[in-house]
Amino acid sequence: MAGLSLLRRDAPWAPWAPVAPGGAGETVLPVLPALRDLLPGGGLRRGSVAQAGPWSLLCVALAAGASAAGAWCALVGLPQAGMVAAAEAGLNPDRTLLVPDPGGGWPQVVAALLDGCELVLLRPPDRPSAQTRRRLEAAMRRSGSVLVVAGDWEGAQTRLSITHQEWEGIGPGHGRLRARRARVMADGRGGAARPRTRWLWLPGPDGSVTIADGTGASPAWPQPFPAWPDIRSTG
Amino acid sequence: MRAAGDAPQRVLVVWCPDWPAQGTEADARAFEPVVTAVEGFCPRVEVLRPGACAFAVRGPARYFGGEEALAAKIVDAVARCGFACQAGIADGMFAARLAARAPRSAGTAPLIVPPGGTPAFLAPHPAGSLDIPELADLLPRLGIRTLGEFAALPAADAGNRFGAQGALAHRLARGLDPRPVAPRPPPADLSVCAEFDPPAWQSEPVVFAAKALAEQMHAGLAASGLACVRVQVLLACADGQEITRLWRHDGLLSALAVAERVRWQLTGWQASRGDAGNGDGVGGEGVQPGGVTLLRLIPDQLVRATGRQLGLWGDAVVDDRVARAALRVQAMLGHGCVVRPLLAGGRGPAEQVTLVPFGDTAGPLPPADRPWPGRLPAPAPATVYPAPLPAAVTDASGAAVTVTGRALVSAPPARLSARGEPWLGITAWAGPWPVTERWWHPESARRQARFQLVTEDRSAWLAVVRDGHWLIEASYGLPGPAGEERGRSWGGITRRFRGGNSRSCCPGGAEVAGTPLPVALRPERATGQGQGQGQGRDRGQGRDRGQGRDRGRERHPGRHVPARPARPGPNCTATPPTVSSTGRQARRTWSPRRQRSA
Repeated sequence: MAGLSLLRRDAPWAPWAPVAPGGAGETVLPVLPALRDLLPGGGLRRGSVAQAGPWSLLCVALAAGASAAGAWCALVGLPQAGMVAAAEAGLNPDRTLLVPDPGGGWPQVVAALLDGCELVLLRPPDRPSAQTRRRLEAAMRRSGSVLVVAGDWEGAQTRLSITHQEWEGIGPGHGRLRARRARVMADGRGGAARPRTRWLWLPGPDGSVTIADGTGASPAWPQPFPAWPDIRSTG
Repeated sequence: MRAAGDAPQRVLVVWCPDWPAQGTEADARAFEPVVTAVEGFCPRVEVLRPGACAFAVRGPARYFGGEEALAAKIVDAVARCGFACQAGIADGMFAARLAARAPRSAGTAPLIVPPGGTPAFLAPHPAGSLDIPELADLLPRLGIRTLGEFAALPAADAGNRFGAQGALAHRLARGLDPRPVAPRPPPADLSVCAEFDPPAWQSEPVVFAAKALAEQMHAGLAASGLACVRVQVLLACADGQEITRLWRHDGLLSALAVAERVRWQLTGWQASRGDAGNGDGVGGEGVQPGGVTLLRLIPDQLVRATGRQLGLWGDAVVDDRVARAALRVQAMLGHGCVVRPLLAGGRGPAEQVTLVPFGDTAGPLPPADRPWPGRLPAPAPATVYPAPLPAAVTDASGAAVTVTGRALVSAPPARLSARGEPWLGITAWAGPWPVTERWWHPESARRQARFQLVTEDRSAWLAVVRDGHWLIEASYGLPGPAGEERGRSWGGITRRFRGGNSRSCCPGGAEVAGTPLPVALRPERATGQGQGQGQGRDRGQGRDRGQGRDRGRERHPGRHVPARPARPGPNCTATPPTVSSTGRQARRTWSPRRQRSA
């Protein structure tokens, strides 16, 4: 029976498993449930560019859903990306490539990675020229991959940004950072033109990204009163 | 091959006295240059152990003008590799080893035992030099102290009394050899090469030839039952330039895949030339500036071809497509520029991630499932600076905040400046969480105290005090003043979402007017100290601040912040300090009643 349970646990990665939601046949890459309402079509359309403001957990949260569904992600130009936070948000580190310093030839690097990975998260070292953007967008359409930009990208189909954020659980001299309530706003072109906003836990108390209600209610901690450690007199 | 009873062949032993006796694999690799130097004189060298090698000396001695000249040349050649060595020549391996190791009166002159003189040379050596522990103990107790005395015993009696081992030892003591030298076979040249005459100006013919060459190389490897870990591609140009690069092979690449790597190497080289020049090279796709005259494929690190079996499941098998993309980027940027993150155990955010170049396997990692007391609790910071940013933190009066050896802060931190940026007021903070790591190991020992700080622009920081200096290790929220993108990208956000609002606003304080503020921006201090200190810097957010303050009162009715809220707070629940004197002292002052604030 141990074999069976092992099989079941690994089923999503097993070759005979039904096609993962990120399979090539789909037109959108899946995203985390919390972000579904923000994106037209409920995911990242293949061959499109999503802009997610400056580097923040939002960028990696956009990539996490696809990564959890079995897609390969590449992070380009982000030496400062906190991989522990990314893993907590849902990014699978086993299916992640990092190119911390792509150098001056970053468009070629990104183009090569777009061929292999379903999703490339990029922080452009400089402002991309129109020609560079066109070339990369063509590469994306060809390979059906998605580019998530941590920065500015003119003509991005989807734009997400954090308009408001609030840290919870910490006070002057007490508590600790527990969660961040962030209002995420999405707009873009075409079907995404109508701005939508959602309150998210970005991250939540366990590092995951979930929907928060906008009422400002205190978050539901997994343990309202965390277990107090044994205090022993040690001499 | 000689029969065992014949007089043994002349053997030269090179012995490096400084080499450790118990050789590890690393020692063996380090010994390789010495072996290569000796192989310059005789190709059939036997490595006895790291630090000693031997070869039959008859042929080389005649070529190099005598045994003495040969030995002197070898000692010189090894000395040029940077190692001291002694050489000895005698009949048979055993005597030659003793000759090489014999103490020298002057310098490193080789010791040469004349042909036939081996028994006489061996006779004065103690019985212990036989390297057989049982006999080394037994023979002296029987009154046999030297090899000469042992050799004087009748061979049959020695065999009867001491068994097969004794018979072998007796042969050694008489100057006979139990076995001839077994040299390692000279490695066959499995590299393949193609020359281009006239030089190939386009990359196509080179890549085409590479495919045929790779097939030839694979056939050669398969014939000897070998596989190569890496393949070296060497391209020589008509203008004398040579480019070589090692590609991972692992016996998995097809001929086509090798040809593809040659193409990548050509493109990468062309791109680097284009960058170095005026950029014209990029225009002509596939044109080689110098013209390629030679292509050579050299298998590197030959291993026995045992095939490769992937795990049925459980291994994250790298997709071919992904591997191609990663290798292609490695061809452009270098092997170490494409990495995979591996999560490991650790306390700080940076320690928990190990970056391994794509294609390499990681060494042992600290296990993540251990308790790691003092580990940073979830959620982890989204931004971890590769090098911590220097920072300054002051209290309300402007004095630098320090942490004592007993993990007490001198005063509540009130203002933060990271990397010389403008000061930011601190609205909330937690800490210090002392961490004392590896105190038993002076080089890597570290004592530090971590803080979480929330500044008025609503960024959250992970700061650490180490050796009295403040450093920003990581940041949780949007990159604040120390983030590289502050001006550029943050401006973009505020512009976009504030619409036509002309009210200037602090970066990150991009809240639209009227947005509820659930938590006080700056709660009242009951002590009244530092009112307006460090907060007087008007960043044009007066309205927000007032609102925040009112809300703060509402949410924390009558909360009293003591004059010295420096005691480690209940946050230590999550990150109890590691075992240290610091930790013990600090723990006494914790109070569970201050568990929750709101």
